Amino acid sequence: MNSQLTKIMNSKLVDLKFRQILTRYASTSSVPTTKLFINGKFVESKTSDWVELRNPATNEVISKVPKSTRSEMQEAVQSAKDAFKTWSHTSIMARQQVIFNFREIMKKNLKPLAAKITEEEGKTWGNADKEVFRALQIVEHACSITTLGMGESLAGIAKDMDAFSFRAPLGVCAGISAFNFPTMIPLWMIPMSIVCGNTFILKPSERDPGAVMMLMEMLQEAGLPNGVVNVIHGTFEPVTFLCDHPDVKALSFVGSDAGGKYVYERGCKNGKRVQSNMGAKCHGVIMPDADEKSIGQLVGAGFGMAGQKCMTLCVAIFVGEAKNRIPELVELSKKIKVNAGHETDAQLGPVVSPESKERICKLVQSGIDEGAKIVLDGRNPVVPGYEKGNFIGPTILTGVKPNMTCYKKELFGPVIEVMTVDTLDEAIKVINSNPYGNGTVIFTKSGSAARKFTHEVDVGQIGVNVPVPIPLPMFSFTGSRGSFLGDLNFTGKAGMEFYTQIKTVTQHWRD
Amino acid sequence: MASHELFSMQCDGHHHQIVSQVRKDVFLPRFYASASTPTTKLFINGKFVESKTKEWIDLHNPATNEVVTRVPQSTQAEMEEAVAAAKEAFRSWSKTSILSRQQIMFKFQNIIKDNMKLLAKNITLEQGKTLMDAEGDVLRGLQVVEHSCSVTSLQLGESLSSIAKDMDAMSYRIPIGVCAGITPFNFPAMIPLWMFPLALVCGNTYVIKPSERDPGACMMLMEMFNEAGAPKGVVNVIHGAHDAVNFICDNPEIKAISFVGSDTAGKYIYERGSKNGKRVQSNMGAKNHGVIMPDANKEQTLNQLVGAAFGAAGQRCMALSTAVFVGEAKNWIPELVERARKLKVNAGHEPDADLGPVISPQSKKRIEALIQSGINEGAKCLLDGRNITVPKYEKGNFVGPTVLADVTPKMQCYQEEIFGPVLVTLSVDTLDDAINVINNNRYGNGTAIFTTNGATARKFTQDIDVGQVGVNVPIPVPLPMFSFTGSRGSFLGDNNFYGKAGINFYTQLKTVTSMWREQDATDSKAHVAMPVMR
Repeated sequence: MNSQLTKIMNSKLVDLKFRQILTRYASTSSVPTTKLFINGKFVESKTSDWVELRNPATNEVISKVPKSTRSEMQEAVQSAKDAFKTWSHTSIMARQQVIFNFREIMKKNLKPLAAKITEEEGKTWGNADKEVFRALQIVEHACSITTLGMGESLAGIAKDMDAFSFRAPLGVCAGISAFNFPTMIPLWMIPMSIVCGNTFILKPSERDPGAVMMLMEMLQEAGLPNGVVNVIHGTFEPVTFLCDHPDVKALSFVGSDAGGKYVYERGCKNGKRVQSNMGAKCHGVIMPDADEKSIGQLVGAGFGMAGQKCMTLCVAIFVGEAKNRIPELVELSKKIKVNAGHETDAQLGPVVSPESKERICKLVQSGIDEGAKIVLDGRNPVVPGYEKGNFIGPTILTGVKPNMTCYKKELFGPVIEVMTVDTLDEAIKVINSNPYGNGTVIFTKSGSAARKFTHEVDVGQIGVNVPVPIPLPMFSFTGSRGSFLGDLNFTGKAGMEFYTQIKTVTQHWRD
Repeated sequence: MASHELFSMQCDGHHHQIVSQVRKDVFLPRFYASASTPTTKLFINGKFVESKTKEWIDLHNPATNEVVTRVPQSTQAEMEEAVAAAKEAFRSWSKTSILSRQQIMFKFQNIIKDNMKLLAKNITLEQGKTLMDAEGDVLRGLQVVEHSCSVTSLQLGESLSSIAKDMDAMSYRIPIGVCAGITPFNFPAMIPLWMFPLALVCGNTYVIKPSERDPGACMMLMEMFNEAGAPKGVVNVIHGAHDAVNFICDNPEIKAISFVGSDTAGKYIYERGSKNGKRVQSNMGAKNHGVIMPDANKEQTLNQLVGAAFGAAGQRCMALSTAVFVGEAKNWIPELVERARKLKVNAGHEPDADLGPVISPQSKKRIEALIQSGINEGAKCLLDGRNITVPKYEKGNFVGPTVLADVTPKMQCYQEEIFGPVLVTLSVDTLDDAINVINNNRYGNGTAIFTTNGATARKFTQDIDVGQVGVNVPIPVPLPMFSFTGSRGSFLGDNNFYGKAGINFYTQLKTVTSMWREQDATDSKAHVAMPVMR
């Protein structure tokens, strides 16, 4: 544990109980291990295959994450299958109470969760705090199930005949989550799925499963019966296992394009429901009349979380005279403090792994080689005390063109690519030609420009002067085109619909 | 009792008490003064204040008739102050984000959950019902608070893009302003909680006048709401009787009135409030019939009937006060009487109590007079609870379980709402006859059928003209994601309490139609060129 985390754990903010928790699932031996969570118990894996989990700021090994054995994964599915029998028949009011309790416990423990995220994922405290807050809002949304989960009814559809529909759970559902939001993404899945009456198996990212394990402890504390949620660890094998297991009825995936397409195809082929959120390339359009704060917002949205979010504004399109503000962008970006996430002055933490850093640096170089100009180069930052961390400072490429490799690929790092165009129509054309449709933003004072943009741009999540337009959870996460595969999005009404099937009863009772 | 069965069914024993540590000891003393004649305070602009009135109403413990507290008849100035506080608070509260308002409800939910027993104790003290019934009272209110946590989904407006070229429309559900509630004595926690949480989470502010006979639970809820972080002035409590009601009906700053109580008052408030241009929702009297078919599950049905008729001493608007036995089912009446006879009448806080006293000596007198009128008009009194003695509580307003048989629709005891532990029974030959009786009654609050036959149940639910129907469920009070849909003589207004209708009642729609001409969209060229009119 880093010093900040230790401080938090010893503070009065944290329940006594949760001081014990952190130590409970990471064993205290010299090589701590992350446990599995099966049938309500934290268990040590019997595998001989382990993945080392390193602190991205120091590259010190924090924990070893097991690659679950086949029999452990089977045990998890079996436990979820058994739990489904009683959980699906537990009243909706009782299931809702568990979520209310979970919310209360989580709310009291936001700081230790954030500390854990910073330790394993590397993002700054500020960013980790925001993540757990958004995660909490999703839990709160699940408390609305008594309204959201209502079926429909129509009386007297024929003589002596009525019809009504129930929303019934599917069975065992599974989730595969990405490293970049270690609490928010699992919570896009678990609360809504279980409050609808399903049981769940989660495979969190092998790079930062610690926060999820804390959430499991909290769920248990909230009164969740054994087996309703289970956690397995690993890399490829669990993904294939979940895609193929006949008892798993639905798969939720958030992660890379390759992973997402694989899960979607393989899961669908096996007759499962699949929702798959994948890559992104989000464009921010800066109009000449944009507000003076726009460039600052752009900097925050481009470099926040070291660019490792699927809603990062990684491409800035300056329209017409707006290009005169590019120097302002560079100046503001230079001021960003790069440091380990738990340091109080950190604005930008490390990227998740040395491999990731290498990939990002290569893409930046390819941009330069293909004719882009590097106006801010963050590839070799010096971070005193954390020389071994995976740091990249804010980097800005200008003169980027749609045919360059750095534009075509998802960078997923603290790099803003700058393009210039003459008109809003051209900007829209660039965005609509990009294969991704996750998010986009326009910065303008003009109502007409905003309206034209929101209507003509073919992207599922749009911000008007809102730099990171992630919808609140009463709405759905509606990335489109290349960023999403499936029929029903995460969160909102669609999220509830994904985790339920409709049972329609038509009844005839002769007068 | 059936009501408890219903409550426990709905919470499935999953009551995990994981809640913040609230200072329980501070609740009770703060709003009762410690003088020898304790007084109930007003709650205005976030403060518990002593009324300056000279007119006080003695509040008696119904089990002993000892004075528990004195309730003020708020002065005109105090009532005006309450409305002014609510009006002032509305300015900022209505602009507070929906997420922050929702957060306060989450906290409030948690604090109530942590203090259910304490609230129940106060209800038993002031209202008289048994502790178990009192906890049910709190739980049903708590569930409405939980429902209000769904506001982020419930309050969603609608939108339609491109309704014409360059034109979009969207509607928001926005608050109305200062709303007011007038609540009856029978559910001192639940009914205030039907009103102010939904009103507040939608962005309104509130003035509540709880029943002058048992305002204690409402005062405790105010303390808890304060503790949950509610800004001052968003909810205010005034006390009193007729003058306070007239004030609420007439004050121009109050935009909506929610009322639950008697027919006379409900009609009066509906008319006077509506005349003044306010929204009014008014839940009033009831006469709920249970239809017992010969094929019903006898054991279960008799138990449910006894619970639904005598629970809470019959003082609930969903009490099953009339049993209609169809055909041979009438042979079960003697057994029903035996079960009713076994119910233990005692002060509500005594652990063996099945039913407690009625609210007041006047109420007891009225109930007993109605029983006598039934006997005089030809009904048979199979069980007479009029002269019951309850050791240690000789001065309490007790009426024991009473069963009147061979009642006909013309009798006064059938025509009037008894609101006491009295079950009137009618016998008819067919289901059609039973439906006929019920549909001819002026009330439409609730009804239940007991049968094992699907076709019978379906026919009943279709043909019956009553808003809340139970099929083998004796007290079909809808959970708060639905609405409380009593109809005909039991309700006046357009939007029912809670559910989606409750949100509609406390919000008005604002519809925005906007046009942003495409040719006005600025691009760099337009920006640098000379302005041109297009």
